[in-house]
Amino acid sequence: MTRTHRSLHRAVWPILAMLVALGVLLALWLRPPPDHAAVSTPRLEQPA
Amino acid sequence: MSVGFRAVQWNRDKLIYDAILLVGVAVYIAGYMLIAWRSDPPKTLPDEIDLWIRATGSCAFLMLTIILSIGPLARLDRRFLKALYNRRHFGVLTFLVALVHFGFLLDWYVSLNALPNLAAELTKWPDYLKFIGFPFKALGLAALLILFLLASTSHDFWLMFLTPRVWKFLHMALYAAYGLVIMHVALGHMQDDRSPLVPLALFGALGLVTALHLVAGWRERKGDLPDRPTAAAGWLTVGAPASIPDKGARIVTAPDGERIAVFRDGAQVGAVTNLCAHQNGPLGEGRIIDGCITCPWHGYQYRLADGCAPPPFTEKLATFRVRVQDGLIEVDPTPLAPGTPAAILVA
Repeated sequence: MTRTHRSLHRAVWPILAMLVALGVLLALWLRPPPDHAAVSTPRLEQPA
Repeated sequence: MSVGFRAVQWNRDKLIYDAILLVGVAVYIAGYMLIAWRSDPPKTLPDEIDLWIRATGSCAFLMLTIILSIGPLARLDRRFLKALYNRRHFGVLTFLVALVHFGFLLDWYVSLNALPNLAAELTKWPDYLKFIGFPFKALGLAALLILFLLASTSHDFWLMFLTPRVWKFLHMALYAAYGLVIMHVALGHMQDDRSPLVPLALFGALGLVTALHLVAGWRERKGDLPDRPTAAAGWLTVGAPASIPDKGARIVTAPDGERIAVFRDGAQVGAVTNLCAHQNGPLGEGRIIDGCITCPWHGYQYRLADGCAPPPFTEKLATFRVRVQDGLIEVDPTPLAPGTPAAILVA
């Protein structure tokens, strides 16, 4: 790999990992309580 | 390396690699279906299709996690180079499994005679402003499109057409696809399934891949610091000839941060760029096999004397002048034109 590629790689991973981890944490924190959760099948919504 | 365009350059190693991949995918999906079917048999056709959606989706996620781990693992331990060799077929198969996952999703809507609902879900624009309730299928679709782009440009034809540098940057889009897939699961399946296994799997996979990339990147960092010229006119001192392993190399870093691989084959010493002409693989971590520098990634070969691939192949590497001063090998960090003879014989 070129030096530029390695440098970009080192910069991208921490940022990407933090953003995604934060997203998953928020999705976990904000998810509705169990009794409101839908049945574990793909959601079916009404056409607009 | 091929003198002519061929759709796929099969060889025995690739066939074995692909066979292992196919068997692995089949065993995973069959195992998932068997366990899920026995623990909670589906009562309706949509329930059954839903199982297939989960089996193929989790399989594609697992495959992506493994693909993203192969690169840093190969940097940390040479034994993983075998997995790197045919990683592109791994990527194409992952796209196909993800495509099947999408196919089952369409089938689920068709089985309920509700295909327009999918379009309605994807075009409910106010939902795109929500976090919980975001159309998570759009995230999966975006990841699938990235995987399609990468799979369709995975052949060496595109690598040569785009140049290794551009091609490598383009294929870094896989990182974005991985992030999209994780959020697709977090905002979709994880909202419905209360099992702790889902967040654990997401954090575990993300943590593993990130840790491997950070550790491998940290180890590489030291090698990016330029070696200080220790000889006259900016030449870099490599060391005594015996300090270069026979049929191996020592790597020095030029003032511009790019690496130079200094190889020794018996009494012959030569220096070439550390970047393989194929995919910018780390030549200095390769060996001299059959008299040629051999890239550890895909086996591309170059003569030590002049950096040229042996006929009928046409790739050429930039070479560097080397000399012996006071018993030490020195290398001039200014590259010569690719294919210029520059190796020397040492006593």
